[in-house]
Amino acid sequence: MNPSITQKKRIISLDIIRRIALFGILFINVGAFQVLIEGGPMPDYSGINGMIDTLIKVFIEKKFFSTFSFLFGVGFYIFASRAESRGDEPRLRFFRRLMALLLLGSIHIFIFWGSILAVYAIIGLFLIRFYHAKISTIGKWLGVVFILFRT
Amino acid sequence: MMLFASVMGLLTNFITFLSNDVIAIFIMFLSGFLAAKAEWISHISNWSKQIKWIQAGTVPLFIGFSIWIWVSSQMNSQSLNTIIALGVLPTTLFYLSTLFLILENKLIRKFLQPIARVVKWLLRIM
Repeated sequence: MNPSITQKKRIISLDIIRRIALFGILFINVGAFQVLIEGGPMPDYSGINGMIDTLIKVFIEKKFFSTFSFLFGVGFYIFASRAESRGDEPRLRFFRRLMALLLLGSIHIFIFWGSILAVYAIIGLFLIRFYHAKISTIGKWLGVVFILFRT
Repeated sequence: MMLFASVMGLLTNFITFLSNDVIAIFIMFLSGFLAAKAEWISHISNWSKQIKWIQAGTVPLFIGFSIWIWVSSQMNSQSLNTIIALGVLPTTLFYLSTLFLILENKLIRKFLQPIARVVKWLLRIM
């Protein structure tokens, strides 16, 4: 187990990247929030707004929920290893957390259709199996899934 | 009946989303988990050479996909969403490697810390 992560200290870089990713997600959802509050179809941007919309597509769209997913994976390991160092069952603790996220996400999807929380909770369940896996095993799985994704 | 239709609509949207992005999310979950378990996250400086290799490997893909997305967007291409989805993994890896390397610099970290705090504060009051 990694002692530097199990300690109660924050990894500042991770915190900063997490906030940047959240800001990116907020950015991408602005149009959807407008639809939610004001009604009507998704706005069709033109002029300077169209230019900004294209820049969002190039640099932000889908990139930050993916960044956030990476941080979720990091967070899972930190959370579970800390639970284990306290003598708790890490996989059970994480499962309970995911169930709470699923519940929250299921409610949230009725408020905002673009909610990703329930999806994170469901996919997160697959991570539990990897907690005690060797690094090489995880690497192999990653390779297989990546190849499947690309084909 | 209307409630059933809206639930079905939500479910359809949800399934469409899953089919599009679920694999990319899982790959990034697993990548993050691997990076933490292999101690790359807690000792970035020890792995900076490898991270620079990732950055160098993904920068041409990032530039290529950015140009492709820009051109497709200007042409209102039907395949824009597919192109964006294809570019997600290399772009995210480029962003992450760049951010981790940049944040190794204490001055930059100190400069960005308040920005991180502002977003944290905003999310708390929202």
